[in-house]
Amino acid sequence: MSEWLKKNYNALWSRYGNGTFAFEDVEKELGLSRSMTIKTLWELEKRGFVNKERSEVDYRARNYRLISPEDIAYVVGLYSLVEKEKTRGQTLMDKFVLIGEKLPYAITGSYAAYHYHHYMNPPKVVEVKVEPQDEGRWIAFLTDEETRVFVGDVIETRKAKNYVRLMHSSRSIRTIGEKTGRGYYIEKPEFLVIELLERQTQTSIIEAVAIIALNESQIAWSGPNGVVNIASSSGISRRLGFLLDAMNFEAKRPVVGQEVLKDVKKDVAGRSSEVFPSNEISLSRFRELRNKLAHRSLLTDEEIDELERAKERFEGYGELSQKWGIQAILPRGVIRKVLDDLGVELGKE
Amino acid sequence: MIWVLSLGKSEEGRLESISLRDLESINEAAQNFQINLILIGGYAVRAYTNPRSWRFTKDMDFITTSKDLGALRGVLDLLGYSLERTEFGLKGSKKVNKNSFELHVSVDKVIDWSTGREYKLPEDVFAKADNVDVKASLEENMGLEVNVMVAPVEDVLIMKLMTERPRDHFDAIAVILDSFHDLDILRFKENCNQDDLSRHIFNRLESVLADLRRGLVKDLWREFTRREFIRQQRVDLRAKINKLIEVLSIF
Repeated sequence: MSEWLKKNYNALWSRYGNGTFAFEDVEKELGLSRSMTIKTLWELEKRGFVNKERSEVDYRARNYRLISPEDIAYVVGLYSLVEKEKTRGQTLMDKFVLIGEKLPYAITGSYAAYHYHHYMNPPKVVEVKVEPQDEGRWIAFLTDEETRVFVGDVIETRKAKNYVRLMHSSRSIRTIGEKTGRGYYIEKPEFLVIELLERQTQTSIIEAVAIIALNESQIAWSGPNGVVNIASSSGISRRLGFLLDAMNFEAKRPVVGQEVLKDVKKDVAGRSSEVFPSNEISLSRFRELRNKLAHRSLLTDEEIDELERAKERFEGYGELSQKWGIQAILPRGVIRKVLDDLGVELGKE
Repeated sequence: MIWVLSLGKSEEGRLESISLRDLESINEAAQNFQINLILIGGYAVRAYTNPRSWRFTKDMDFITTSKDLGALRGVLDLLGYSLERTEFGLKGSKKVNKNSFELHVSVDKVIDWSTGREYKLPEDVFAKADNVDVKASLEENMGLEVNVMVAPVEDVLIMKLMTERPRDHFDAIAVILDSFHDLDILRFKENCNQDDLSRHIFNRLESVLADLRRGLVKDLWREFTRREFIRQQRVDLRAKINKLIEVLSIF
């Protein structure tokens, strides 16, 4: 690191430590010109010495937080243990292999899901669950010319080859992760399915269905770290039961054994006000349909007919909704399409 | 079943390169035997959008004509696909290691499974098809690309706008943002009219505009890319959709 940058980093650290600061603070505190402030923050960011977050007050503004000298020293020490040759041309995944068990982590979300289903390409953002106290080390370790690391939302608008989103887990990282044949750690399917169901977007549901359909016999359903228990402790047994039942319903055969469904059902009693999936996009589409149908006098018969059919598609799992005590607004085609695409033998209607 | 061993590549990387090579072989065979066959679906969207939008299945979707179906069956059979007739045309599958590749061929029309709506192929769809490079999406396959015949951007956009799936709406938004300059707006309008889809597509575009105002496009973008939908994209998308609406509103 050049002397001027070291000096600016030290000045900012002694003033703000782990606290956040804004662009204007750097200008004022260090008495720098606007262009020099941009250069300082840019260089710190490029080296992984600062974390950039969205301001909670102003959506457009950014807050910065320095990575501590201890975390930077840890990463420098880590790299010094590796032969220089090996660090050259390293990909992001090589870095995950290199870190091994030194810092616990588990790749989650679509990247991990892709490992299990090979069905739908993951996006360019790799989501990784890490321990909160290791965040600074991860930012300093993973950031390089090609990779930008974020805690929370990815707010980078400049093009980078890789984006990493660091996330926390309510469970121990070592419990949820497993090593892949390639040497990096990903979230075990049992925890991942629950993670995807918690997100409850149409895409995450599709990915959960694909993982279950292709790995049903390898997934641990019972036991302390089995899917049924994890769902129960996460409060999403209804969602899980509904999804598994819907998969069996679409396939017209038990993709998932009845004994698993019985186990899930033990945790479910009565009705709830839960809507599934309850993401803004699905809810908004459903509300839009309902609102339009509430004003029938403004519509032609043909339009009413079309809207009624669309509403029926959303509410196609009437019986299963009742059985699991939720209001399901998942179009039936969603699950059926995944099963069909994956070559799961489907029974006839 | 085919067993493929490719040293140094991950399973994901192997699958992607096999599927792209298969795509190339199918395309070449179709051209050699003068079979009308073009790509639609995810791969077509991939050809018309920037790499950031890639969130597709490895399944291949094609369209052909009923007169070419027999010859196409022969080609796919030779390439190792087991085939079955479906209500929309043909479904093929091939096992590679533990994974399965699926392809769907729609004949003369495309049926949207989410609504049951049909899009009859316009007469000029094969003549107007584009020869486009489809690039690999995984880093380890960097540099791998195949040149294939892809449905015209207007038809790809109509097929994506006619469905109810949020994923298709995301694809449509990405196509509008990235390939609007290639879009023949009059052809887009004519093809919507031809299948009596104008009202439906018009409503869908209006609904995307409403989603844009309510911040739902931002959510959709984040769901598929895990990234931000920035102000410049919002302004750009609104202007382009307004142009499409303007053209469609003269019906």
